[in-house]
Amino acid sequence: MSVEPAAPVARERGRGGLRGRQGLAGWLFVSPALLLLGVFMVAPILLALWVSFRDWSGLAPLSASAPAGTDNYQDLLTHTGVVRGDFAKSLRNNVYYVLGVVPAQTLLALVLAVIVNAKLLKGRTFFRAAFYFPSVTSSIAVAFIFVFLFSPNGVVNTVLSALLPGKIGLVWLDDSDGLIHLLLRAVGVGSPPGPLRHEFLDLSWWDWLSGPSVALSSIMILATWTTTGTFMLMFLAGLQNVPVEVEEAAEVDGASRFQLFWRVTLPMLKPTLFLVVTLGLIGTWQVFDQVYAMTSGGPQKTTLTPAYLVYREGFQNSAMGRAAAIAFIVFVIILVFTGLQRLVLRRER
Amino acid sequence: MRIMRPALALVLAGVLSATAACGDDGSGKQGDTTGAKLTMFAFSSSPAEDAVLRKAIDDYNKQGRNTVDLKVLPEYDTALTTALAGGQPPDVFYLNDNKLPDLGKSGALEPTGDQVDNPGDFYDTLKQSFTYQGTYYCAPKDFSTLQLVYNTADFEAAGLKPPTTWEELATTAKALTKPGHPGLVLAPEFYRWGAFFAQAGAWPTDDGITKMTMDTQPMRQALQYLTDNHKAGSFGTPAAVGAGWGGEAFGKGLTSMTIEGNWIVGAMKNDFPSVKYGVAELPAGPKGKGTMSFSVCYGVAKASKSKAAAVDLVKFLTSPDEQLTITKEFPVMPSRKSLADKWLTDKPELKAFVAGGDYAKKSVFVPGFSTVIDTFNDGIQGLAKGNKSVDDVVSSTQKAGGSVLG
Amino acid sequence: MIRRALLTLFAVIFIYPFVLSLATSFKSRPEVAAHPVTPWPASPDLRAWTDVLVHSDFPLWTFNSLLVTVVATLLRVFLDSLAGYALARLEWRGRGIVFAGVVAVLAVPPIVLTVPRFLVLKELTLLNSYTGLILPLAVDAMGIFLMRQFFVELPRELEEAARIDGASIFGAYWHIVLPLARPALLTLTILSFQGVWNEFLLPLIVVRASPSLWTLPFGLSTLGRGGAGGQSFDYPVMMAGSILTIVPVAVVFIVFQRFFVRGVAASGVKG
Repeated sequence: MSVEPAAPVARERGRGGLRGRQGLAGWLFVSPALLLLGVFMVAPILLALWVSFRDWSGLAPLSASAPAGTDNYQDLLTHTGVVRGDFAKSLRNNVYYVLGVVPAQTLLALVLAVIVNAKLLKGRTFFRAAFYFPSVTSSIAVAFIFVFLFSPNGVVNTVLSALLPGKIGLVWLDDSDGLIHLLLRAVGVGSPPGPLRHEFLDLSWWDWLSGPSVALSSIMILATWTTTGTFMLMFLAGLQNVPVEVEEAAEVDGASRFQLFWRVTLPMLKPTLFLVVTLGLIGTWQVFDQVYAMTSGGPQKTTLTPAYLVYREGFQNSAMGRAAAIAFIVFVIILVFTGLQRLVLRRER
Repeated sequence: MRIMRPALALVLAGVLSATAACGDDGSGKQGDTTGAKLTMFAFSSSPAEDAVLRKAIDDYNKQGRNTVDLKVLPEYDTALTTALAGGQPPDVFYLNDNKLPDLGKSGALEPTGDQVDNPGDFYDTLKQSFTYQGTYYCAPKDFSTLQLVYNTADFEAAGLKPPTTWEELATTAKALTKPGHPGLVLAPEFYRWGAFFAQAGAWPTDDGITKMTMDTQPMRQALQYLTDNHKAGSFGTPAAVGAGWGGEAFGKGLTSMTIEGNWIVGAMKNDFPSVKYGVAELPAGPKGKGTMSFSVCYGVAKASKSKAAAVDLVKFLTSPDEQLTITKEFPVMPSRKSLADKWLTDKPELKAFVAGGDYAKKSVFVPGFSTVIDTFNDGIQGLAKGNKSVDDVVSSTQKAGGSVLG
Repeated sequence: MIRRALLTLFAVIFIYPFVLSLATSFKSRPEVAAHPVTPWPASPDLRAWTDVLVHSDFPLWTFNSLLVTVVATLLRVFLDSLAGYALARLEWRGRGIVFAGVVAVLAVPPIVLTVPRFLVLKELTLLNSYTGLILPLAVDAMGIFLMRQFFVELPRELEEAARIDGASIFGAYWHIVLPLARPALLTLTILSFQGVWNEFLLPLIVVRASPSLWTLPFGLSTLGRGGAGGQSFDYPVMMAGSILTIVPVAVVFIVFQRFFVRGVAASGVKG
């Protein structure tokens, strides 16, 4: 992001009095906002950075905590044990979550935006509102609604039972089987072949390759359902910038509708597409509310995410130092995506 | 950067003042016995328990010595930890025995165990649960044990009697199993499966909690027994039948047996008054009878400004009269030995729970052990679901414990 | 034709869950178990609604949510626009660096702040207070950024005329600029209202142990699961609570739909 100063105003040049006043006013105007941002955004990060190098349970005063060096980080990254294993699980889960949700929400948002944007569509406002509405509602309320939809004799199972042969009785939110594991089992591979029994970060390769569990998949469906609308609006804004003449010219040339979309519309949407994907990447690394309300990280830790792990370690397992360290690692992951986004956008300009 | 300076100064000032304030903790005076406003945290398993507790607090408030603000909180352990971490703990709070080592180690607790009336009257095993490194921290409120709860109508219809051995349990459960209705429903967690470990003579650690003892033949035998029965479909989990816990599955008729503690009595009375049930001792395993017991104490916060008043409240709540009133409506067992007979004469049908007190194992380990239990629970869920092997569970739990016990 | 069918299918997928939860809240528990999919209750039952409205602290949570949302939104709109104006229009030393700072803060994900904010609020003894719920939400970098962008594009003539007429800088801002900025302010108000109303993480750590200060999302999260009570997953109650939590935002959404759209478009452009 570039930080261009507003254009200097010629008339104000040389009027030292006003400039002086503006200097004071400028600081006065921003100081309340700066103070609050400093206290609740910047200072917390510095304090937490410090805590992440201490052994603090959260149960006794902070001043009574002992320095821990890099122990908290080592427990997460280099020391073998439960802590590293749980962190590895959370990373695995979140990676599958990202791999599932980001493409799904981007693709669905794009398709919906293109259809809604079509000329001669009646009820456009209604459809746009309908798709966007889930995005503005409370994450907890929506999570509860999905707990109900995915309950053992809930809507999802009822609909599936009607569509598929046999009665579907999946216990969605309590099913820890990974989708890839289920696929493998279907073709007769029920247990890990030898080489996959080796461990990386206290998690066997077989478990790394589990795929998202059925429970996590339910949360992924929920996430796609709630975020698609927002991204659809972004695509719609992007589509406004595609000049009608270009499309019409291509149409005259006899391009099929698909060719038109692929060759003309999509390239012009590239900046929006990139924006949607990076915002998606940033957002999907922060999933917390849904996990809290639907599964609390279970079953078998297959819905544990780094964000939820921060909360669990800090407020349940009384390891505030470790929680702060996890938060910093997540921060770095998200910063990488944000940095990438800004870099590419700058180049686009 | 300029913007950081005021913020940093503010935070540093905050840290300093907090440090200064901490100096008063513990060494400060205990406050007066009367005239204090106390905050108390508690949890409740049912509206029935809730009502009993509120009545007890009302009674105390009416005596006019202190005023108690009672907060009944969901997801209790996290709420308590958060309040302690925030430096504004309640004066008096329920404390689960499995959390005692963590809190004892942190120094957040004021030792008040011996300050109640006639402290010798409490069961020694319960007092041990609330002792960490030689300090007896808090007076036990009551205790519960796990036993077998069975549906009398189902048993009569099938001509069955409560099972007394593992084999009988397996066959009984099988006989009662129908599609979507396992004979026995039990939650896939250490706090239920542990009873079977006890019956097999197995336990995750040795008695002194110095080393892990997962990799033993009895432990494997118990895990295998439970796994096989889950695989056969005669044991099931609450989630698999669409219930939140064993008692709910049992009350709704989704199973004919469950393994729960005293708290199920209140829930049945409240939510499923028409279901007739009996409580039997859990069947004996290869090493005889075994179960788990759970206890709660009244903790007093070290950071409390009114410790003397807090102790006064605990004294009231642990007095024999009050214990009998509380445990009458909500039938957990009194923590005072002298009340055992009186309690039982009122409710002879619950004698199995009392009997369990003699041989129950407790889930009190060392600080930081909860991560090991978490790992074990993962494994147990995997065994119940059938996607983990006994070997995996034994080795992962052994390893997890090794990193905590050192 | 296919297009329309597809749109309709998705409209159903996106809207039906809300319709169904409304219907479920009027069903009895046995009916929910027997007919989970029907969008109307066979024999309407008000049990869940009385449970929520009379036997829970829902009214209290609603009051808390309203209080926190209104105060935080007012503060946010005022402080964000003030700062945005200074960054766009006033000339002062350090403006560039402050703006860079605001942009940097934009990149901080809220989840990272869970533990740190708890620590700072603890040191300021603001845990378990309304202030602790409001102040961290009273300013947001995104709002400052949006307002700055808006002010940069606003024509200067009017405020300059006012200043030449002797109005103070604040006077010109308050009387001339703000009225012109009404669309941007409204967008910010609505985004802020929705954001604060739905905020879950902050109440979770700040007022966890003070039931009298719970806001709707956290209160809702404790509903219907009954602790370890006799019956868990009381779906009618969970759905009634969810619907009630959604309704205020839904009303705002229906009335001010175009401002939501504008807000997303604007935040999308931020880069």
